This record gives sequence, C-alpha cells and structure tokens, in this order.
Amino acid sequence: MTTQRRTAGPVPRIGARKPVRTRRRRLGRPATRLRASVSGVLLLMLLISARLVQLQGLDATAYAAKAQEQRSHVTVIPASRGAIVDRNGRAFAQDVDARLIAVDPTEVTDIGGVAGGLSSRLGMDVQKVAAAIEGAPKGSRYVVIAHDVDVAVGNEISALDLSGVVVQREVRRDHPGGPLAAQVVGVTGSDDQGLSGVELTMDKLLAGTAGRVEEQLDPQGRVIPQAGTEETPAVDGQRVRLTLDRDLQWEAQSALLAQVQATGSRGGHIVVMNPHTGEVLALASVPGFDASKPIDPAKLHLGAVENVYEPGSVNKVITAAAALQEGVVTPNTEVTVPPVGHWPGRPTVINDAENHGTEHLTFTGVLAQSSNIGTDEVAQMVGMPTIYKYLDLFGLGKKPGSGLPGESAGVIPALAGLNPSSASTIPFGQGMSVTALQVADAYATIANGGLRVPARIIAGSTDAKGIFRPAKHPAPVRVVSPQTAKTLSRMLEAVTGETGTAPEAAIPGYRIAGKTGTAQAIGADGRYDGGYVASFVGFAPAENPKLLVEVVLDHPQGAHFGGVISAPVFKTVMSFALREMGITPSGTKPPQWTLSLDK
Amino acid sequence: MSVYGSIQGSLARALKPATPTKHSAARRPLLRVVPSARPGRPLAPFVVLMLGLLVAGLMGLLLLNTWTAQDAFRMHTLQSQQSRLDDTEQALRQQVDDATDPGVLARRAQALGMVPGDPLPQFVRPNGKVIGGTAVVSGTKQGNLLIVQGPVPPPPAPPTPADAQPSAAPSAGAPSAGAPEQPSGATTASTAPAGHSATSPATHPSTAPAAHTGTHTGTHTGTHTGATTAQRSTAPSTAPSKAPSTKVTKP
Repeated sequence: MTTQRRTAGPVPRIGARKPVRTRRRRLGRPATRLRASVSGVLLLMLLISARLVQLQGLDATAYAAKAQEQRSHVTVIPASRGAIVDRNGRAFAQDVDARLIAVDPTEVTDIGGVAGGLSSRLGMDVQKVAAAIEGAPKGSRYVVIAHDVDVAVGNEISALDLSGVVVQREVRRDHPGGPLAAQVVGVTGSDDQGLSGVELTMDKLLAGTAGRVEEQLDPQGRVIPQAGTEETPAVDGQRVRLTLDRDLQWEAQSALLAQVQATGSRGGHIVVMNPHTGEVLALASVPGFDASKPIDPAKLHLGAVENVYEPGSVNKVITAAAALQEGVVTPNTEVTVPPVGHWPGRPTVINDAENHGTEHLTFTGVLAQSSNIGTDEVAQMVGMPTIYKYLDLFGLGKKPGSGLPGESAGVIPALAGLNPSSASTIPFGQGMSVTALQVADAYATIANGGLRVPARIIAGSTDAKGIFRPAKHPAPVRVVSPQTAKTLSRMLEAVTGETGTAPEAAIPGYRIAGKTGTAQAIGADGRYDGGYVASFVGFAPAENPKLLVEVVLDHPQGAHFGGVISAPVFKTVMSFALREMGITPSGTKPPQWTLSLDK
Repeated sequence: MSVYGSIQGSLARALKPATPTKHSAARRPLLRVVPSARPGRPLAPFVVLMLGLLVAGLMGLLLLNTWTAQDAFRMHTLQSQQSRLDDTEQALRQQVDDATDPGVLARRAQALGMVPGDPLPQFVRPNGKVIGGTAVVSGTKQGNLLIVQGPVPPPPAPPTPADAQPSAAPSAGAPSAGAPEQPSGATTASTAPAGHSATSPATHPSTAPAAHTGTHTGTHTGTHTGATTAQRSTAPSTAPSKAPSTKVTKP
C-alpha cells in the first residue's frame, strides 16, 4: 500500500508521455478496484435479473407451455356413437366393442405360425394372411389383418401370444336387424360419420364429443404418478329414438318384398302411420340393402321419400276434398259420366280404366269406381286454382320434413301457365309427381279429421343423463273441416266395399277406408314407358282411424291394378298392425252408399 | 487509511473501560475439571434403540409399499375382471338382439312348424259377446260373472319332413305335451277385467297358433282359416277329452 503510494507519487514528474500506463496503474487503487468490481457484479446481476424477468415474467407463459408440451401426453377418448332405436327402445344400430388384428412384421419370427394361428381364428385364407405379412412395405411395422373382429375371437388371439401380433380395441357399428329399416336408419362411414338416413340427419346428436386424458411423462415416456392428470371425459352421443315399431317394420318390409317379388315389380314402397300423431310406424322401400353386409351405395337411398311417381287415382281424394269443402258437390250429387271425356278447349281426351257407356254415378260412385272422367267433371266445377290450394294444403309439392335426408318435394307444375292438358289430368293424378310419404300424409289428414300432422320419423333423443327430449316437428295444418274429412272418409269406405275398386283390402270385422291408384309409370327418359305404378292407401278402423297403410308397387309385371296387387299387401300389414296394437273391431256397419243411379 | 485509523482509535476507546475487569478475571483459574454428569452410562441400549427404530421404520415402509402394491395388483385384477364382464355383457346383449330380431324369430317359429295365426284378434265384450276374428273363445255372462271359455290347444303338429326332427312323436307324447299350455291360454283370455274388452290370446303372436288350431271339446269350430297346423293335426284329434278350461272373473 505504501509502496504504491510511493510509486504513484512521482508519476506526473516523469511526464505525460505514457498516460496509458498511468491509468493502468491507477486501477491498482483499491477504491477504483472496489468500484469496478462492484459495478461489474451489479452489471452481472442486472443482466441476470433482466434475464430472470424475461424468463419468468415476459416469456413465462411460452416457456411453461413448451415445457408442458414436452412433458404432457394427450390421449383422446373417443365418444361412443349413440344408438338408433325403435319406439320401444330396441336397437336398429348401435356401437359395440370389436377388435382389430394387426401385425408388426419386424417382430414376427415365425410367419407360418402367425399366419396359421390368425387364419384359423379369423376364418381367412392362410396364404392371404402370410402374403399380407410378407408383402408389407419394407420397414413397415403395422399391417392390419382384420377389422371388426368379435371380442371373443380377439381374446382368443391374444391368448395365443403370437410374437408380432397386436390386438387393439375398436368400435363397430352393429345392425342387429340387418336389412330391417336399413334405409331409414342409414349407415356410417369409416370415420364414424353419418352417411345416409337418420345417421346423417341426426349426426351431430349421435356423434357426441370426444374426451381427453392429459398425463405428465418423464423423458423415458413413463407417467409421473404425482404430476397430476387432467381428464376431460368424453360425452357420448345421444340415443335417437325413432317412431318406427320394429315388429311392424319387419312385417311391412317382408310383405312388401314378397309382393314385389311375386309381381315382378322393379320396386315398391310401404308406409305405416299413426294418422293422429304423424308418427311413421314402418317405412321401407324395395330395393333396399342389408346394413350388416357390404353395401351397394346405389341402394342407400330411401325411395319412399326420395323417388317421385305419378300418384294416379289416389290424387282424386284431393279433388274430392276440395269439392266437398267448397260445397261444390255432396256425396250423393249425380255425375253423368260419358264414355270418353273430351271438353271444349282441352286437347286431351280422358278415358276411364274400363270402357263403359254413359253412366250416371253419384259423386261417391265416381270415387269408389275411380272414374277419371267423373273426377275431371267435378274438378272443372271446382276450378284449378282451388284444386291447387288444396294440393298445397295437403302437403303435395312440399317437403314433408319427416327428419330423413334427401326428401323430394314432388313435382307440381306451376299454376300460372299451366297447359290445358295438365289441367285435365292433375285432378286424377297425372302430370304431377309425389312421393309415397306425401300421399300417406295427405290421407292421414283425412283420417285425422282434416288436420294434417306432418309425418315424422324421429321421436326424440336421450342424453347421457337419461333425459329424453322430444324432437321438434312442423306444426299441424288445418286442411278441411272435420265434417268434410268425416264425409270423405265414409265415402272412401265404399272403395273397399264389394262394388268398389279394392274389395281385396277389406278386413272382416273392421271398417276400412281407402283408395286405389293405378298410374302410368314414367321411365328414365321422363316419358310414359308403358309400365304402371299400382298403389293402395287406406286407414282403419274407418270410424276412428288408428292406423294408415300405404303400399306402392313400381312397374309390376302382369296384373297392374292397385286394388289387385297392392290391396292384399295392405290387408296383410294392416291386419298384423291391428292385432299387434290391440285395436278392437269396429262393431258397426259401414255406411251404405248409392254408387250408380243407372239401375 | 484514515478511516481504518479512526476505527482503530474508537475501538481502543471502547475497550479502555473494560481493561480493569480483564485484569481481575485473569486472577482466577481459567479452567477447572468438571466431574462427568453421567458416569459409566452404557452405549449399547441407545444403539439398540436406534437400530430398532431404523429397522421398524424400514419394515413399516416396506409394509406400506407392499400394501399399496397389493392394492395396485387388486385394482389390475378387478379392472381386467370388469373388462371381461363388459365383454360378456356385450356378447350376451348381442345374442339377445340377434335372438329377438323379428326375422330370426319368424324363421325359428317356422322351423318349429308354427304358422302365422289368424290375423284377426278376438275381443270379448263386457256383456260376454265375442267380436272379431275366428270364434275361438266364448264368453257367457251369468249375473255379475263373465265366464270366458278358452280353447284346448291341440297336440303340436308333427314336423314337416323338411324339418326332419327325429324326436317327433306326433300322437303319443303330443297331447300330454300340449295339455299344460291349456290353462295359460284361458287365463290370458279372462284376466282382463270385465269392464274392458278382454283381448284374446290371439292378440299375442306367440300364442296365436295354439289358440287358433284349438280343438274344442265337444264343438269343433271348423273355422280355422289358413291354419295349416290345424289340417296337419286333425289326425291326432283323438286327444283325451279334456274338460273345457273355464275361468271365472268377477267384473
């Protein structure tokens, strides 16, 4: 210390030539050194604190997230898709556990053993299994051998303990009924998304929301037990209840299929409805498909709501309802029916299905014997604008809103600029198109006292807590007065009488109201192709309708009258339904109508 | 330097008054021998105690670990048991679904020689009048009582050759086999309160064939429409004459 002072003393005298040396020497002074080191330390601490602030304060969230990301591992818990059940809760489609069998070719030591073991349990060809394992791309460690394997079989394979074989859990969409209501229920795709039918329209409710488990892993990938796991449970899809009745659906579907085959028809539709509630109890079309087998996409659509056809005589009921409601005729009004209908200003000549001379029928007779000429005469008295008003009220030309995808609205030419020949034919159902469900809905209106309750197929959905929520449906529409509906219903009973067009539809003990329809079919090119569409739609018991059945046969070979080929199917299905639902016989006699005034 | 100096100075000043005390303390002996407080206490018990505690602690820890591990094992066993039971439940449920499928039921019924019954249900009115369907049951009203007479089921039809059921014994075993079913048919018909229309056995599809092919004691109704079973079973209609099943219900 003293030495330094001594040497420091003479510096100014030596000269200012070496200022650098002087400054360096001055560093040696303790105060300076102290100050320098304190500043150094402070600076360092400042830097460290700045970094600290940056890490812990400014970037903290980002780093924490990054750390979390490195540590945490998320497993997705798939939500199980809700079942689709009938009105009594019996499943049409449901998720069931299944197993996936895969192979890691790099772990397989004995291809023959693995292929033999798997093929015998899976019912596959040994060569095929071996080829799949051997033919895997180089380095591939995952070759799927089979999907949708039964759990029991999967467990058997697990028990074999074959090296390189992986058994994984997966979920399969099971259709216990096979072809039963397959088109209504629909199918799902490989990602479990709805592709058709109710699976498509109710996809959101059915799918549910997937859950997740987040675990903290150490660098070796093991779960850190105390680190806490975050679990968001999966919300399973809701169970959708349809209005269909499984047994009735089966009976309807089988009866329709049998008749389509017996008559050599190209296809057909059947609708069974509760006219009061609009609930569709059975709905099927041929061709259909078996949901438990590989599916032909061309057959997925449900013809009863998607295909249109000319309704033919069943449309006469709309004309009749308009005429009665507007007070143009009464059931006993005399209608003179010439052999051919040819009116001035109308190019089309109207014929009846059977040749006849000039007849004098009552309006009920016109309906019961399904006279085109007579209907046309009455329609002219009513006027086309009024007919159109009632077509609309009865729901024709509009989508029914049943809850099924791809509904067709049918085709009704615009009233403005309607050509005269269509004006002649629409009253008896030619020159316009409808779907089977629309016709069922229109007849249900008459059965329900003139109030149209739109057809519905979805009853509601049940969530995970078991709470049932009814589905929303379009509001009912008042179409004709209860009195008109009652009169029309009584008139329609004449159709199934001995002199009507469909005595085949009669069921002893029950009063049946209905209407036949035999229309010319339209081919693929949009022209009449010489074929027919034969239909019958009716309800029972007529005095207090509980059930409505509609049967449509497309392009039957041989006999083509609705009263001959469709009415028997109606009878079979209606009898079954009456029995199933315990509906008591009428116990009253149908009204006696005078149909013809000629005798 | 000057700071150091001043500190030294002040220290000296501060120590000065203490100096006489220092001197008087120096006159006493600084250290003396203090007798040991616990002479000759053995070390062994302490060591044993410590070791004992150590061992007990370790043992406890081990037991605790084993215990938790046991729980983990138990959980694993129970979980695998649960998943096995889940699998079983699902398999059984699928079996039920498959077995109750209407198509499967229809095929099985057909294989057993059953045919669809008369489609029309029969109803017994409170006044005893039977409406609808084929006359299978009869009702009579006696005062306050409604007496519903049910059919005696026929012996089961011999299976068709196509079914080839070797165990079939058409006439011998059949009547006795058919007899136990008889009260059930009658009960179904009559249990409904007389205030309602009682649904007949025919309303239930499974009982329909039996009811409609019934061989009535005394009066054979011959109105078995479409029941092929009835035609086939006309041969063993020599079934032992059984009293008509009668059940009485109070209205």
